[in-house]
Amino acid sequence: MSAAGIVRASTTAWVRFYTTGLPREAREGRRQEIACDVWEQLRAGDLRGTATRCLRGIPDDLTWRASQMHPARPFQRAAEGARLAAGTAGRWTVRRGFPGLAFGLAALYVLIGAILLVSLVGGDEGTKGDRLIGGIFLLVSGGFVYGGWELIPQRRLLGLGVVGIGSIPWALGVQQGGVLPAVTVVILTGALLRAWSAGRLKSRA
Amino acid sequence: MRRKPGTLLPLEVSILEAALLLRAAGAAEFHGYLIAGKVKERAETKSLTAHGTLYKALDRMQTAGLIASRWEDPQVAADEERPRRRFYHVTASGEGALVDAQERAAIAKLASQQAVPA
Repeated sequence: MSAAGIVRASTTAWVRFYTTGLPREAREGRRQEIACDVWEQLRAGDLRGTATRCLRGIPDDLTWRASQMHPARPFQRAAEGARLAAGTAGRWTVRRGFPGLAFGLAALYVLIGAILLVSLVGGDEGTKGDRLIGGIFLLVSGGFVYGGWELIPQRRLLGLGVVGIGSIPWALGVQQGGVLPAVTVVILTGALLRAWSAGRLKSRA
Repeated sequence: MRRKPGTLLPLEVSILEAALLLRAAGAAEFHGYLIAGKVKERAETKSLTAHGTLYKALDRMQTAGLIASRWEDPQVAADEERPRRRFYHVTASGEGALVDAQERAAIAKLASQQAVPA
């Protein structure tokens, strides 16, 4: 199969997946529209763009699906709320520039924190306390990093401070192999660039 | 996303503006890919609006009465060996909503300029 064929098949498969079970009109309408759009864009030779458009639109695909379902079901409402939050955060990060960096780093913090907390179950009694504290600390740090990142365009100094609170303690407190201090340097450099960029945008406006 | 009733999202404003520009250029109707291209051109961004974002916005705008749609004749699509297009056009309600949004944006910009100390 050609690369275009793979992109078309993948996009079609995803659309089929998230439209499954919807009312016929909504289901077939969405499938037809996306198929047409993909055909047009592939005809224009934009292979990468077609694939990334599909990926970037996943949160909105899911919220659209939730909106087509019965509004009274609490699970669907909760899922829609969660997807809206994740989708909004992701779109915001991409629109503001440095796509994925803050989201990726914060997600890494949260993931490691979650793993530490999960590892509490059945773990060595002697290290449970460390893992509990470490896990919670990482979850909170991830939140600070992401929240500070989001704040920078509106309040640069405050946003930088919040990012620092989320990342500097790791550089100071953990000296193993230099990895975490290096991650802190990357985060702070990125945050400073973001603040500089936000300052330039404001002065142009 | 929560918003005040009657207000347009930035993407909706972009879509309406792009659609009216296309209409002025002779294209009374548009399909998804066409409007995505026009929005990208006007916004000078690197990439087209994502599928999910675009078609969700179009669906929402249609529900709100800002645009209306029709499916093209299946035979036309079959003759050209491509999927069927869904054509949209801006309604009078959509034009009015766009004018309101543009006026609000202009007022907000004027207010922010006046608020900046000399």
